[in-house]
Amino acid sequence: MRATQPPVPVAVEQKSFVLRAVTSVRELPRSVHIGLVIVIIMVFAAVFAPLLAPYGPDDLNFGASLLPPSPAHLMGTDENGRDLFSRCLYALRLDFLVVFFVTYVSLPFGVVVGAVAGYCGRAADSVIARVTDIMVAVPFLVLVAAVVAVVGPGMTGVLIAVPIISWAMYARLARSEMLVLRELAYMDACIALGFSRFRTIFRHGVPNLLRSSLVFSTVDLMGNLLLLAGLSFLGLGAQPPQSELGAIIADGQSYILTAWWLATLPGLVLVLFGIGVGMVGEGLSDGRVAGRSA
Amino acid sequence: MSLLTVDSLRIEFGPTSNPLTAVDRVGFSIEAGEVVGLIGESGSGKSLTSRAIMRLVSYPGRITDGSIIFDGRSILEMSPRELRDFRARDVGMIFQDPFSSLNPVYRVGAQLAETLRVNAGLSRRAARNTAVELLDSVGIPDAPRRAMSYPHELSGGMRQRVMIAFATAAKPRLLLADEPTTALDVTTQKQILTLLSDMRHDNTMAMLLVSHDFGVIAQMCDRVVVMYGGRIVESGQILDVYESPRHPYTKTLLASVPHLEVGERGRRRLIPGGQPPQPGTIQQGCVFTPRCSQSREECTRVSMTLEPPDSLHQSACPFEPTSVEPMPLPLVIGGVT
Repeated sequence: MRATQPPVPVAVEQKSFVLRAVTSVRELPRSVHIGLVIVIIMVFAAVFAPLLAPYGPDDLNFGASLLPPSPAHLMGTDENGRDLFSRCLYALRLDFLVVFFVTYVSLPFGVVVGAVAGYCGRAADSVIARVTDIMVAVPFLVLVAAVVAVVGPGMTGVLIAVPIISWAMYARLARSEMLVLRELAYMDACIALGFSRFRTIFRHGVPNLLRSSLVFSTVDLMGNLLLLAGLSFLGLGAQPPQSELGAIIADGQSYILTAWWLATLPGLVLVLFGIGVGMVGEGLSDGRVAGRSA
Repeated sequence: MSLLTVDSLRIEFGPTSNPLTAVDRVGFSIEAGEVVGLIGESGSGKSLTSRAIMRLVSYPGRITDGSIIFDGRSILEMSPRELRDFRARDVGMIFQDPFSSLNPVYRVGAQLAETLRVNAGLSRRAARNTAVELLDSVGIPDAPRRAMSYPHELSGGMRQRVMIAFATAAKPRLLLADEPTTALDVTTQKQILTLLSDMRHDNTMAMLLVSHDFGVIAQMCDRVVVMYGGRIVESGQILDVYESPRHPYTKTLLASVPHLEVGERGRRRLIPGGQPPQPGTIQQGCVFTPRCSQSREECTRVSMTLEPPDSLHQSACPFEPTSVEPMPLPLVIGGVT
């Protein structure tokens, strides 16, 4: 069975990283594409808010208060004559920054803790499993309110409080996946090949359990955005004049009968983002992407 | 001195106060360059024994007694660091299921290169090239291209070839093959066995071949160790055991192998009494007693020591074998008629 020619050094099919990434994105289900387009457009809108916004987010114009949506003011104006569209763009900036930060700080931390717990088992596992149980049982809003009470109202409270709790879900997910992985022959093979525990867990275990956490993070992302909006709505999150979607909706609420757009349109922005990340998440959890682990 | 000596090995599961003994008083040795077969039914403890040599018995299982000496070093007393150096470099291992023994997220060439970097200290570039050479040497056609494949793109036989390349990459002196052909179809089995013999002659590597297939063992091994219910029941040179089995279990096991020549008259003679014993159910005497056609009253009191000591052909049954039928060596590979 031996090949007659000496083997050529690997040079075949050495695609660039970018090219491979593009190919693998193209192979994903359609819903991921649609979701990605929505999310990317919204992120772009947030990043380039200063260029895209026709008005400043805090520009008062009392001569133009409570105007309905029109070509001049795409989403109308509020009681102080501020342009709602511009405010929403700036609000997305703040919201995305905070939400992506709290979600993707929790994820790696939780995954590392969970993977180690699941692999090592025994005492370490019992301790970590109980701690995550406690974390999941803590009423979220109450904890955030408590942290806000300590550090004062504003975004700092959210940035501190959310990761304290939300790493626990990732830890649980990673742990349960690792319990399955650990029994597979290639994890045994890693040990039999003399690899260190560190290499076995992080180089060979974690890439195989990351998917469930990534899928969950899309749900978590939306959950955190709603939480942030909810906290601002309650007056615990963003403080005026910071524009934040929840705060905008809270302000618009008192005008709901006379100026419906003030609360409704920012709400639809939230919904749109939710649909976007939801489609990405669902597509990623779809079995068809699982080709490589089949 | 032997390359590997296993002595009175005991592996237990469950609570320490009331343990289940899965492997009990198992002892055998392997000389340098020798091929030893370990045969037995499912649950006889053969896989567990081979995993113990690699210190791969994981919680809740534990090695509670005995010693495993490799080239003068006690494996059971090694520190984690010594174990890492020992694994792969001194002893390599192949697993039963080629479908789950490769990591699905990495290309096979990259995985093999990683092994070489860790165990042979090669540079990234050298490891890549050596990986392709190794894949070529285990008979993977078009190795440079195949190195870029993911495991799911390869067939079972190819994956097992890749696994053999993994296990032999660091040129170990002993290869543990835990049912390397069980998950493969018959023609592929033959190819993998041929490859294993080739790899052995190339670097004079000893091998412990775990199998439940007499055909595989007969083709490959110099000596055979028969296990039943966590105990060794017989061991000896392959021809001695085949032609004059001394333990009733070995005899019935050999008789249960179907033969082409026998035809319709010779129905397979199955071992009576159903299943091997659950670990821990038989505390005293011979573990085979409940299914043995020649069992007698003394059987519940015998100690199952391998007799005669210092002999090449030992049996754990103290009674003279009755009605030894000469068995033709099964010529079929893979136990299929």
